[in-house]
Amino acid sequence: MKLKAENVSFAYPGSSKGAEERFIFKNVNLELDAGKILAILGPNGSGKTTFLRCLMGMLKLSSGACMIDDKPTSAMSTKEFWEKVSYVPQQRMATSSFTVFENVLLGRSGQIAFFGTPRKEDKEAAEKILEELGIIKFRDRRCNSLSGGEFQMVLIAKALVSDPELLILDEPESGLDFRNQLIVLNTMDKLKEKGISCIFNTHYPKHALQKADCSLILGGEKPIFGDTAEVVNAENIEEVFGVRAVINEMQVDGETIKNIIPLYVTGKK
Amino acid sequence: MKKRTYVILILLPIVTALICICAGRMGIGPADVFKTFFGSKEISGNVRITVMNIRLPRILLGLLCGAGLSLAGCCFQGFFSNPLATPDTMGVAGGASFGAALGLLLGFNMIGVQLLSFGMGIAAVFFTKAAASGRDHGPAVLVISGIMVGALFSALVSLVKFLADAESQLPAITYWLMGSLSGTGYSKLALGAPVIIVGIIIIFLLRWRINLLALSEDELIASGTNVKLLRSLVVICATAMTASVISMCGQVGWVGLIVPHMCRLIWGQDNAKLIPASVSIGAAFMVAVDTLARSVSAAEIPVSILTAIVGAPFFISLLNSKRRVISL
Repeated sequence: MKLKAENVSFAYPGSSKGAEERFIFKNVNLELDAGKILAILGPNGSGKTTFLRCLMGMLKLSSGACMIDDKPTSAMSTKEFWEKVSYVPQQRMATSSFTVFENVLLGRSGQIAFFGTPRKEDKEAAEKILEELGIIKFRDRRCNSLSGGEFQMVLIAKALVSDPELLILDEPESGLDFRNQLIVLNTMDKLKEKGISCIFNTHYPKHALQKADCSLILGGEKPIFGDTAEVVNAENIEEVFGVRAVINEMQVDGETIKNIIPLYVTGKK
Repeated sequence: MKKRTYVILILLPIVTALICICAGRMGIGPADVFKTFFGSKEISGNVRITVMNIRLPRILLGLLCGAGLSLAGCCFQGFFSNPLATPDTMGVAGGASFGAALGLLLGFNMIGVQLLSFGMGIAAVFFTKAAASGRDHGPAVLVISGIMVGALFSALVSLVKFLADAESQLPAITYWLMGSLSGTGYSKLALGAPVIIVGIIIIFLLRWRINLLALSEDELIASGTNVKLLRSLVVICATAMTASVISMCGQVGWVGLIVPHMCRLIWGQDNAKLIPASVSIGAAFMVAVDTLARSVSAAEIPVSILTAIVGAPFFISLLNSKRRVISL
């Protein structure tokens, strides 16, 4: 599956007439091929989540168009769109009192008839995805008894159970501990091997450097899009976040690993 | 849900109804009840009239009202993702009560009262919906405007009572508002039952999909489901069932709150199990309580008094139970 955004802009409607519209983001262009990972970076309030919601049609674009396999998403039916795309929302407190299995099964709703109930194959798909993500041991636990990291994996399982081609994750590793962050990020690597594309919002430029093939940086003068190795650099970070940072590389087991260390706030921005 | 559970859930209200049809001030043996059903000549006219014209319609009404109220409660709890939602959350009971009180004030016959009550119940929910439509803030605003509309209609009920003739109309209105299944005839049932039965069928078919309503707004959109259609069907069915119940037997409280929670204790949160269970247990519960109401004393006790006396302590014990089914 190939995703493309052309000159996408968004401003909240309803600002007073005649006043200049305040754009949340303007003229975003990007392209994402099958099996690639895109990271979206930017300070708080730069419109990362808004961009995702526009991409998914939950907010109406002010101008521009998003396309999946060269078909504008605005011309796709809800059903057609959500057969290809799955969404993992920003995880807050796990309030759901469904069991893990019941919750994951909800992800199959696109495959189940409106007046129907889950069939055998839906239940098998849910079992399989729990197995694959290593959370089958929580199958019958209530979601509100899980930790943040465990619940995040349940949300990912729920999104994956419908066999999407593109997974959109809103800050999937926020609020998680060291180990759970790694589990979530590595899950995206596994999806990549299967040819599933991922888009994730993140507050950690380090995670973009380590996992994403390409990155979109919002919140600067203009949106910046390109290969992560090119666009996530010290200049862009300083321009957008107002933070002086160094990027270093180290060799571990023959692999180059990048890290970014913030030094001080520059006041530019 | 396992087949065995379904069989139990189908048998439970039927067996309860058969036991209850024998019980009452005039004891009738099960054998005589069966003979009456099959039109045996051995049965005296008194027994025949008691079974066929008094107890049977009343028990059918009890089954339908119990099923309808507890299912409506279950729907609204799912719709608002709130364990404290009841069939009355959107103001339907207030509207239906006002309709009935107004009908009694204007001297309508019982069918007229029933129709006006049903119509006003539906109208109240439309008001609630319209009052909340200005802002797109989801269910919370609906709850608040439901409380407002409910308050408005309860004031109108008081106004009707104030205007009513204290000798004849006021007692009739007061007694009606307390809720009772007495004096049920087949004509009353014929008017109200189809609404409840259709509501039960539609909600039963949606039993799994209603689970989606517990998700956040964005997740709900991402499920690819026709959210508007789902929400509308649930609200319309739950409202119509509640209005129909109230128009037939007045305000019977608590059933819509207690029964779904009782079922949650056993079957968990999954509506695919909760909905059939609520229908069955609600029906059996209502018939049992109503039989108690008409049997314990010579003068009949209004059924809502008993549901509250049974319901309040039960609900308190649920709140304090070790298995916290109600998370507040």
